[in-house]
Amino acid sequence: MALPSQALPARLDSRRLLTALGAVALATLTGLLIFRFLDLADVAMLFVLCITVVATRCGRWAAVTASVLSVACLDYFFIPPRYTFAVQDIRHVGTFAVMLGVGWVVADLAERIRTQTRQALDREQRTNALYRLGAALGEGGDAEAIQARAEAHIRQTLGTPALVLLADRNGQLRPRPEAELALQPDELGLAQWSMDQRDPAGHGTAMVPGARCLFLPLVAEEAPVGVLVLGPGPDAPRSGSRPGGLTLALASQVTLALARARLAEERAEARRRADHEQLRSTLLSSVSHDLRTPLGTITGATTSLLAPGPEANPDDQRMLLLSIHQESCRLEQLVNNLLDITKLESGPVQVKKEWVPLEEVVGAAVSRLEERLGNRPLALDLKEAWAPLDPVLLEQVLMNLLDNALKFTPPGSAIRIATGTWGDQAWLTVEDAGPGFVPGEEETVFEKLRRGSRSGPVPGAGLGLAICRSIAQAHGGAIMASNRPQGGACITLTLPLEGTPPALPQEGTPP
Amino acid sequence: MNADHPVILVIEDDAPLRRYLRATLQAYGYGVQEAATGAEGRDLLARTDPDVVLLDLGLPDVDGLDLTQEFRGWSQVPIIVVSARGKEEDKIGALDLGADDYLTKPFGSGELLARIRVALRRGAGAAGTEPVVETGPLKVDLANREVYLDGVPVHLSPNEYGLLAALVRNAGKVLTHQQLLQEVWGGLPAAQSTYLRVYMASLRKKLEPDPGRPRLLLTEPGVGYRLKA
Repeated sequence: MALPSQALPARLDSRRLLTALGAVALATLTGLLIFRFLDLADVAMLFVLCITVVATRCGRWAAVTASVLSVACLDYFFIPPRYTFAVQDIRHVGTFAVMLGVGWVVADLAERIRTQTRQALDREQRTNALYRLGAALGEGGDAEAIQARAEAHIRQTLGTPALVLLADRNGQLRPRPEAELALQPDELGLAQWSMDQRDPAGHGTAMVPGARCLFLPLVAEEAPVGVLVLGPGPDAPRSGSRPGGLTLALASQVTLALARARLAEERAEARRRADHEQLRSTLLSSVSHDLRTPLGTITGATTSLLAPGPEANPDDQRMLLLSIHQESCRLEQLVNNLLDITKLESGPVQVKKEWVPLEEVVGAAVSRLEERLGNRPLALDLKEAWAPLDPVLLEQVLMNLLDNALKFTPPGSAIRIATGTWGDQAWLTVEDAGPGFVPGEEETVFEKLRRGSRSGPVPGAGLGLAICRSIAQAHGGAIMASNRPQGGACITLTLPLEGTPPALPQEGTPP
Repeated sequence: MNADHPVILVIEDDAPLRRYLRATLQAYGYGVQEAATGAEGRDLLARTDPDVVLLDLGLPDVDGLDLTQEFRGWSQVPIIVVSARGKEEDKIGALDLGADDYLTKPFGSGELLARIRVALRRGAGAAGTEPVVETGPLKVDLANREVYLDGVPVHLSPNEYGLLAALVRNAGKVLTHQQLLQEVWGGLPAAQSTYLRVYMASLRKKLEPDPGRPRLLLTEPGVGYRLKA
């Protein structure tokens, strides 16, 4: 809804009336001074000049007043018989009519020029304001940023406190009690009404005209995006008048910017969802492969053990049983990783930090893997290092790192675990003597479902290191991959040391 | 004690797992009673007087923790709870409610039999009363408060000795942080488990040749400690 720009009618106020009176008085005085030298027609022209000047300066009604006064003065002071309103010569009545006509026409012309000038000025001002708002909103950003910028700008342009309320997905306005223009509950209700009805409400409108604020619905393509609230201010629309064109133009520009931001948000959301879908399907295909392979081995081995065929020799039987066992362990590891990644992805990880010596975590993980370690040379270089950590999660990290070291290195090659502190960090490294990482993949190996190029035929879903990184980050720490100078992979975990590490309490006194 | 053939009551709803447990336990000379639900288990426990209960915490009809507490109300039978990985709270809860030990699914038969042996020893009243306990290179004389490693006397501080003695009296059984704090310091809030770690670290320094690869003082992450039996 666009309203025409409001050209104010040239009202006849006292200032303009005085100007008209003064001008006529001046014309009369001048006429009296020069009358003896000039003709009556020249004096009449003097009055016409006076009317024209008044018309251009003071508007139509002042000009009309000046015309009437001029006719009266001309009649009284100059038309014989002088100093009476009587008219001797009937032709002078024609002069009066011409003067009144000229006054009217000139006033009308002057008025039109004044209106056009004012409109041009208005237009320019509006264009400027809109241009500046457009530039401000064009800087992009999310809905909140646009909200803030629009408020600041409208406040500057209209001189009234402005508030942009955004609608949520359910079409409910989100209140902003912290804003400069704080709304009362009933005002918020009015704002909601305005948006729901898509009609301006509040100050000076049909709906609760006595309200403190004016509420303008911001509707983009049939969908309300919010409400612009204009508070009381010096330039607030006068009671009874409709909101000005500039206000409405500003509102529509804010609407467009908000709609644009919302569209961008929706597009980003859609992209996120698509990425998530993509990840899920990759996970699913990778996992179903990794689940089926060990299951295939187990099914095959058990059927051949159960088959009533020729008696297999005990060595073969043992080998089959061994592969069933190995594949079951693989399945367990995979299921554990899947559960972990699901848990870690489903929300912020609950980290129960306690001061724990890293040596204890290493010990727990190593004893759990004792069977798989077999007679692998395992070098432990554990300097005293306590760190605030979740022992269950950290054990998981270490299990995954050791699992990798066992999987990707030749049997019998050495594994080394070291711990220590450095500055305000505790560190733990797991090193192996395997092929190491392909240069350039040190970062990507921590991505989900990403396996190093040198993984070769070793089974795995690419989840282990991703889990490690999630856990490290949940601790506020970091995990890095590198290659040892002498060959082999090195994974370094660092954990921040916050607070004071525990000290051995004095014996004999209760701790 | 059922003489030469101790009876194990298996309360487990999964039939294949039950079958595996029966086959394994019978092969090692144990008698086996099976219950698929908590109610059945309660009934069998009352009627048959088993020597050890294997209790799955994830039963369909009753909460395993409630059942543990209930059993403890009227029976001293050793209870080994079985639960899934990542349910550390459940394990701690069951242990603090009086369960003797726990197994994490999936478990191998070696682990199962070891836990049952420890539980049987405790059930028979053998553990915790012997004045001298020997395990591996470690010998602890509880009567005289003396500790030997490979026959060499080891000097321990009172707190270190208290911690070791608690583990030795319960050799092979996991003790939660809360239980250890109770035994050694007469009940400090569980938040004080840092002190426990401090003394455990210094105890390991004295008793373990390689503290990063403990042979005696084992850590159960997030749950507690166990002395290898």
